[in-house]
Amino acid sequence: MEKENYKLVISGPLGVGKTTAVAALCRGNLLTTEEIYRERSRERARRQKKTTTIAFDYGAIHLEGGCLHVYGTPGQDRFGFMWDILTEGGLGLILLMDNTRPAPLDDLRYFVGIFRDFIAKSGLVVGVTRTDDRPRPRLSDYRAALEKEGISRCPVFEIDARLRENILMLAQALLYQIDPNLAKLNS
Amino acid sequence: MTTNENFTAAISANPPAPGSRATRLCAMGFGASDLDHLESMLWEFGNNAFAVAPLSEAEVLFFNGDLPGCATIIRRLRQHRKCPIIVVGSTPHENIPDVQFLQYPLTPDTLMETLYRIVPLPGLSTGAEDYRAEKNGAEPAAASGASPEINIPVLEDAQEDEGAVQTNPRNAAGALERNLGVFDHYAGFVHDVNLDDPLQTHRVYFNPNGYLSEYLRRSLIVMGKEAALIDVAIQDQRILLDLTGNRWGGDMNEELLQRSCLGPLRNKPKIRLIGRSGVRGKVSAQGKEETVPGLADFSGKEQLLLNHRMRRAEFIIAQIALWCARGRLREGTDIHTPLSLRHWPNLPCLPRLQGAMQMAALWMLHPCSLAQTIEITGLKQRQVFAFYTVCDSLCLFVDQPSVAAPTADDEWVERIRSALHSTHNKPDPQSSRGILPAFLRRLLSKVWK
Repeated sequence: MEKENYKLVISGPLGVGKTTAVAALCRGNLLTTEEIYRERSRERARRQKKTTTIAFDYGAIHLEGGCLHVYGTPGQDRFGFMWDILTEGGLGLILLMDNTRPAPLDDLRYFVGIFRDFIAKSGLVVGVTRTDDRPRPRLSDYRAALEKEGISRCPVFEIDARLRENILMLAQALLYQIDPNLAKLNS
Repeated sequence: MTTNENFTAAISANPPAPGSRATRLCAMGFGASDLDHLESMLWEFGNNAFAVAPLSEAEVLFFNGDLPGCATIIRRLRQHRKCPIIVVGSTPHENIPDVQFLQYPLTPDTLMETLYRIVPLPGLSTGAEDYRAEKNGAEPAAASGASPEINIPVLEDAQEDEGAVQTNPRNAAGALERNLGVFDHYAGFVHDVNLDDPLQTHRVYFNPNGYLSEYLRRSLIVMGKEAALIDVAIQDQRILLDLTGNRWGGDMNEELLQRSCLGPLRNKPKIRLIGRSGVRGKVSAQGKEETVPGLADFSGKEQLLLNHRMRRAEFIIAQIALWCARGRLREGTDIHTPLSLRHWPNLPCLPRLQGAMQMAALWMLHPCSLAQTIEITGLKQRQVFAFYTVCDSLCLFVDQPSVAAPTADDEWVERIRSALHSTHNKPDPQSSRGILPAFLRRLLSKVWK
């Protein structure tokens, strides 16, 4: 029997924890395209981040009857041409937002705008990181921003991208978004 | 400090039934009225469950926590007798290690739950018989008016070898776990009941009046979207809930908080509400806001929450509600009213409950009552009730859905039920739509569980 292939995409701004999230979902079985920074950047200095993803992060989960491919998009705009390629035929999107960035709600609108078509035919969950460093904007602000973009009743969670349990919660909520019947039949 | 004679006489007059062994209790330092109250509650659990014993033979020691120098006395008592100690008092003590604390006013439920947590009660045959009768389909004793119904767990092993003396605490703890399951920190011991039977359904309710969770709930309702800071003073301890920053702080630690949640508070807490736009007030007993002039203002510049904890304010609100409810429902909760959530709960920051994600998804998708949720998800009642308590404490439920909703809901539940019994977990091989759900279910159950 031929195996079905499914795809899940994780996206968000630079340094939000996408690579960590892919590793968490795939239990560390990760193929990444990390490169050492060669340019100076205030943002990078603030995060003490030495590497960045230039193509994508990739992990796979093989199960009976199918394989789930998990892709983490590169965070920098200049690698934006990869985003359409990665989302093609995807099941859903996990969007990670960094609350300590200068305008996180603008980031949200930006990413929702980019992936609008993809979100319309799949599922979306939003994970907000670093809320302990800066509590505002609050989750209700994210929900309101999503409502304005025409996305309602979407799960928005405060998470720590380093905690596998938190990433799993995002993934579980996404699965319930993709197939609502899971909530009823998974007894 | 004396062992009360009334208490001794009352229980000694009803010695344990032949073949069963009563749990030996010793009560120290209480006044007559407090002892009467304690004694009357212990009587509710059956007249052969407890016997008074001198300190040297006591299996459980009740101690008056309001006595001066209570901590010192308990330390000395421990040198004579190593047994579980239940301190009953009006003020929580944090400086006495390894004691159970019960705060006045004492209720039979909290007393029994505490006793069950720390000692096996082999003499407690009344509840066991009821449970056995229920399992066999017979009418429980309480239903026939033979004894009062108490929402307590049952020791099956203990009833099988009544008369066996369980002296080893480790064995006793093992037996307790086998029979009741590990005590669920948030969902208590509450057994599933037949929700169509009003007598049994009555057991899952508790009266929330006087509980800390009820005060907080009223405060949140009063504040609505204006909420910024709730300042709760219980005796001389404070809890500060910063709802804007989703933080909490104050000088009360979680252990002390939990103790305050075991029963209704003896003294009404003082609650101040401070809104974002400078609205200041306190909550009256009826849950209405009253403006209080002359209180300290709260603004971004004035930092009231200096020692905030890592956990979120919504976590502690939910946790307080769970501690107070312990798997039960507030009186007046209709288990047949469809429930719908305003938005997804912030689950990573809330207490971990089994099936929480599943129930959140369900209540986001379609109005669904508690009874239907239990049926559809297959979760234990107390787990469903616990998650309901969390969502209710955070005011996450949409106000009553329209009257037309239940009809549609019934149809929907029927559809799901038929799906459950006919094509459960069988993907349609002809359709890719059938393969995907099966794959997602495997992901949920095997990889991302």
